Amino acid sequence: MALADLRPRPSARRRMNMFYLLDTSGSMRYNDCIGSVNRAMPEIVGILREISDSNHDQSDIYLSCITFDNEARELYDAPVDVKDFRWADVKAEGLTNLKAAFDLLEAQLQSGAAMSAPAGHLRPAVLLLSDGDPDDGWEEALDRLQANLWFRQAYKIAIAIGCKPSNIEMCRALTRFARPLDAGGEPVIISIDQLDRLYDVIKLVSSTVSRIGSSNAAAGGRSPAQRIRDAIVNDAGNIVGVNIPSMLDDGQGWY
Amino acid sequence: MPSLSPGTVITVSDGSSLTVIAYIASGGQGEVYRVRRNPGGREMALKWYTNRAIIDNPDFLKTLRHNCRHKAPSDAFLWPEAVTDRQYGSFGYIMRLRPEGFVDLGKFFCIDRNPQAYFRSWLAKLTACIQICDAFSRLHNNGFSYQDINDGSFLIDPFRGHVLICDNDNIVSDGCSNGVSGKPHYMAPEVAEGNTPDRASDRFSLAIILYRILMIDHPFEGRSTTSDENRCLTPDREMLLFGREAVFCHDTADRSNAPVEGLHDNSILYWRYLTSRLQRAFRIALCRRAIVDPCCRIRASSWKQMMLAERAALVTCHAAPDVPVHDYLCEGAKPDLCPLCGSMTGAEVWLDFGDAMPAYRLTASKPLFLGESFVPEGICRAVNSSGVDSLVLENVSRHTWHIVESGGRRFKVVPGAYCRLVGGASINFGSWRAKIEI
Repeated sequence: MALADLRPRPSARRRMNMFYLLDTSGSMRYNDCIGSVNRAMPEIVGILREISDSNHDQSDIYLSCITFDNEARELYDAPVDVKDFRWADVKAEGLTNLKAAFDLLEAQLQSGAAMSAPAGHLRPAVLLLSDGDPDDGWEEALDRLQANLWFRQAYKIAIAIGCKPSNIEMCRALTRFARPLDAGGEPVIISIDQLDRLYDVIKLVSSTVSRIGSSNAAAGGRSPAQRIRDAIVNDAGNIVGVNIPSMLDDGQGWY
Repeated sequence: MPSLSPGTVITVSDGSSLTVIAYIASGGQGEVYRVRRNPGGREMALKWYTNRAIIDNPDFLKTLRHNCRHKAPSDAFLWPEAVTDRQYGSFGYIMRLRPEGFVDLGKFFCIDRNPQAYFRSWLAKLTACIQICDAFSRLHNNGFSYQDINDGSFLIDPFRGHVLICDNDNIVSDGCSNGVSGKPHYMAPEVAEGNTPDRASDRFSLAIILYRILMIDHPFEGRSTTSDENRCLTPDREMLLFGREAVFCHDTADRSNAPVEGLHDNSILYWRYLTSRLQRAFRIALCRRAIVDPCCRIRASSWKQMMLAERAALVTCHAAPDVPVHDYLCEGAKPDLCPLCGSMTGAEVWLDFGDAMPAYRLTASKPLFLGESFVPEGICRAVNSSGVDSLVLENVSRHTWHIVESGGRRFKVVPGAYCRLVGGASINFGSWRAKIEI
């Protein structure tokens, strides 16, 4: 006689996709910013795995990385489960083709592989990290991206590295990118002056967004989007050399 | 990095002190350490707050001190035993250490990540339900509400079903608020809309927890919550779909959120093994009316009585020699074939306790629990004497039973001895008396 197997199946879990858009232009070599990225990312993957596991049946975290310099490249062609994600070190060279990164992100957001988890999704998160003025064409690409429903609903965080008053185009791009659209709340933009803090900031932002976003939890009357901003403003604002600029929509007001 | 290093001495408000031994874990509110209490040397757990909103909230500390003065409503609670003084920029409280063998309830929902986190029997599931209901019934009767019942509130032994309840620093006198708002998927709709949690909102969350212990999947997950329309579950949609607009996946009046094969297989599979009594109770506890009207929710004490009745009627199957002992819920007459192994079911005997407790079915290998106890009084065994199968009851308690057979013959069953279960005989267990019915 065989005994019916009454062991449970795993409860269906939703998916939270996290997209990283990482600037790998030549200027990222300055002060070894690219080194900070290469050191931080494997640790971030470990942190995200822990958060994903501790979410139990709430959600799995999936990860996608798009790097951009003269062109944009994806580490995987769709977000992968963070437990299977392997970081490969990146080099810094070339220009800042943000347009190509936006185009590639849009393609991933439209693909069935990325956005068709059987049990559904939580809001995705998009983290953009850049250290210079983007090349032409980013604005049209961002317009197209902003028409995408997933992007509209995403938590968006921009990290500006070594931004100077002359970087008007960079300020504009990051400000426009971080506009919350359907996610609500206020934009989250972090400006890093002391470049050796980049490592800490990437880790802090990643863990905050994934922890709050992947549990969808409001608290104390604050929505997840507001909680993410609160936590980042509170924690990153305490790091010396890191600013949370209050900005106007066109990027004015960073200084 | 942990806030307290090993060797740090923390003073407690009762004048004693603690020495930090090791960091254990951290969460949204703070960190937990293994500490040694001085004097005495007893090892305990220290919860140490790192959340600024809690540290700066004088009411939170006041409530914590108030709860410490009260005894734990039941042993299931890892209750705050003493509060520390304010020092090193914060404060905390001490409680019993979490014993080995207990698993976070949330892990039972992800067996792929936690292969050992599953209940080994229906008896273990019922035990967990009974212990949880008993704990919340006592908590509510003492004038408290838990406020934030969710899958993170419970540690459960998957073999025996024994339960420990954690995070008891959130507990307040019913009607008061400590600022805790609950967790999505477990929070009552009125709490999601800003009302203060209370006993009625605890009852909403309790029904979800009981369903999940028995069924594993979430009662409000189904076709509707995973439809294309809800492909992206935004926090606002979630509040509605798991709150005000929630539809029970087995709601007979609204099939729009029925479980989907491949996604909600546990809800489909285990529902078939529930008794109609439990199916009915969940349909009442999770129907539209109970969702929107806090007065219509089932009390913890009522759930407990139902679960005790299920335990009494449970069938243990030991019919097939080549398969391990297993059990299943059964209301009324036993089926001819075991629904799990397909063997012919063995003999059964009922113990009639009158009004004192539900009639108790005994089948081979089933333990006998008296009243609300979790310590077996006896174990039923199948014996074959001269080719005839019959049942005996082994006395595994520490006291002697007195039996009177229908013909008037009297005898004693000392601990470790057996008695035949003969129809018409009565057994005096001490505090409980039962008549044997074949």
